Amino acid sequence: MVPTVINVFRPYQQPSQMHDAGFRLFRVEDPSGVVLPGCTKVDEVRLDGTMIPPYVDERVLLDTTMKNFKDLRIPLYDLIEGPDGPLLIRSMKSNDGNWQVGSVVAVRGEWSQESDGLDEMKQSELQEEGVRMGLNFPRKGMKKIDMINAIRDARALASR
Amino acid sequence: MISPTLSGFMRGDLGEGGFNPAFLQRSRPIYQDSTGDIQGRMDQLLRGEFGDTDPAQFLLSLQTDLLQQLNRAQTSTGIPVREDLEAPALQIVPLDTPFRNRLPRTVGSSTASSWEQEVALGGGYGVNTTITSGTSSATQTVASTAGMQPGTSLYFAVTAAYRTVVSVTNTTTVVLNSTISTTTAEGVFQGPYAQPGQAPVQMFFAEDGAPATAKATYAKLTLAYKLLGTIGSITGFAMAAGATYQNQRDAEILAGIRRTMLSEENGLINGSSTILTAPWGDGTTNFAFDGCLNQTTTANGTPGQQVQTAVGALTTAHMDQQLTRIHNEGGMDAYIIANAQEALSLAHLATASGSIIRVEATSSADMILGGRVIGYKHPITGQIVPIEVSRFMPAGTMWFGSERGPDGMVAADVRVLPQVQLPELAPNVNIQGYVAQELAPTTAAPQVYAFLISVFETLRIKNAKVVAKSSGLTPV
Repeated sequence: MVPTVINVFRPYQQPSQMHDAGFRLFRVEDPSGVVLPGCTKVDEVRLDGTMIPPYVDERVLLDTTMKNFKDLRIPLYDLIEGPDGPLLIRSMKSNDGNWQVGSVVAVRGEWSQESDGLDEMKQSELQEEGVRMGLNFPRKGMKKIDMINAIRDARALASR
Repeated sequence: MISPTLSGFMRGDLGEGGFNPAFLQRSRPIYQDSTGDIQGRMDQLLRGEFGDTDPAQFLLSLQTDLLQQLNRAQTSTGIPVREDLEAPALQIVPLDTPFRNRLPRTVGSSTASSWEQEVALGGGYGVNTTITSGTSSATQTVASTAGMQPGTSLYFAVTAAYRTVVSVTNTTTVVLNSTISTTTAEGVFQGPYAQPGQAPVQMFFAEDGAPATAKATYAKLTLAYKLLGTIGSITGFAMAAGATYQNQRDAEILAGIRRTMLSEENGLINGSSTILTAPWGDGTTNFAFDGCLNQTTTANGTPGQQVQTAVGALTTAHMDQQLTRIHNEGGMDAYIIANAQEALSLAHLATASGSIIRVEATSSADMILGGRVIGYKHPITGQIVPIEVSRFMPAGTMWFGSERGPDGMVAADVRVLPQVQLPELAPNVNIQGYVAQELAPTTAAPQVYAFLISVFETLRIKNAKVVAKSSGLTPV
């Protein structure tokens, strides 16, 4: 009798798969907020691959009798207009409002037509764009998200 | 481990050489004959009358009978007979149940445990008022500005946020350093976090005057005892087969105690009073108490920022924040319950590449790579906060507890309802509270001897302000 073959392999998820699922990836550089160029609406946020719920429901005490309550829906993140464009901020209920520097935030949502288009470019195209801008991208080993961030930083510097 | 005299089955010293009914003990101590005139022999002892008996033998016999009587007193307080498992339970502690082992196990009574939780000391310090009319503004109207002055930080209980007082306009109006959206009747305290015991009444007074009257405030809390246990069984054949090398019933009882203790650890951490499915209920009704994770909520009085959600990568900054908040609430002797995932994250934070403590090397070039984090230096008190790793704590969750609250009282304990008579001279000791109860065999399986191991208890977090919870932690 032939034994049943089962799948015991760890799921493999490439950044491109996240992209195909409608996510754009951003590397956190500032704990207070993540700039999302062109973002007009946020539908889902994942931090290092783990979804952050849009809100939590909490029942809070209104006084010291411990008998009077109020039900609150507390958002865990919000999209606001920051000095450098749309800014994804975090609730004080979630890591005290701080994004962990160096972590990857994946955002699925709606983006304006004025988007810089970097998220839609292939890695090879990003490589060419980086070289064109004088960035010293290594031929291998650099992640797409870091290429995008570096190009955005270079563009921001050039525009000042 | 368990005295053969408490066993309901044949003695372990009955060999295969033959069965001698004279050696067979009665099944339960409650049916045993009196073990002799103990009082009479005590009188003999006092008088020094040993007759023809060797005094040592006399004393040995008296001691044996006395112990047997004590055993009977503990196990025959009611029908059905409950076999006190205090001794074996103590012998196998500590088991793999770090949270259970850490909590005091106090003796309870009645059907539920009630206590008065101190929610305010009635102090004379701080700020304790409410928002008169909720609004989104830097200028807020409160019932009283008593206790406020420029620089005072105020904690707003509903929004779980704080602001600093810029100026106090009058007895009901205060100007803050930035806008805050408040709710009518929202509590306002001196911050930056909610702190118990604030009541800004007059404490300083003139020599011909008097300070204000103040009194502590209590909230009555009640938690019913919940029944937790397991049913095991042993066959007569297994007992007979094991009689020459190991008491199989004792082994099964011990396995049952361990099983119950592990379930208890699970309940003390993850217990839910709302989920109907096993292990908390039978699918229709819930029978469980809430564990520490479900009791650490804002509805129970834990300040909002101490319940952190979807935290992400574990950082020492986050742990510092939680421990600092607990300190600000008056929590003393903090400890942390974590999952192995977080224990690994802590080790990685300490020893990952870039750290200077990756390898411990000796002069002979023997090296130990890696490390284990057993404690965390409290950023405020400097105490070493023990990190207990329990495999029942969900991965990605970390719970911060305190041994005691600001009033010096135990912050959390397990209230155990005793099922057997306790030793009269030790009424306030911690008890394990486990008993075994034999169940009658059925005619369908007369050789299967079942037993129930049970404990009646509930988890009491008596001070919800000195605990904190972080969930959604991802490995580092």
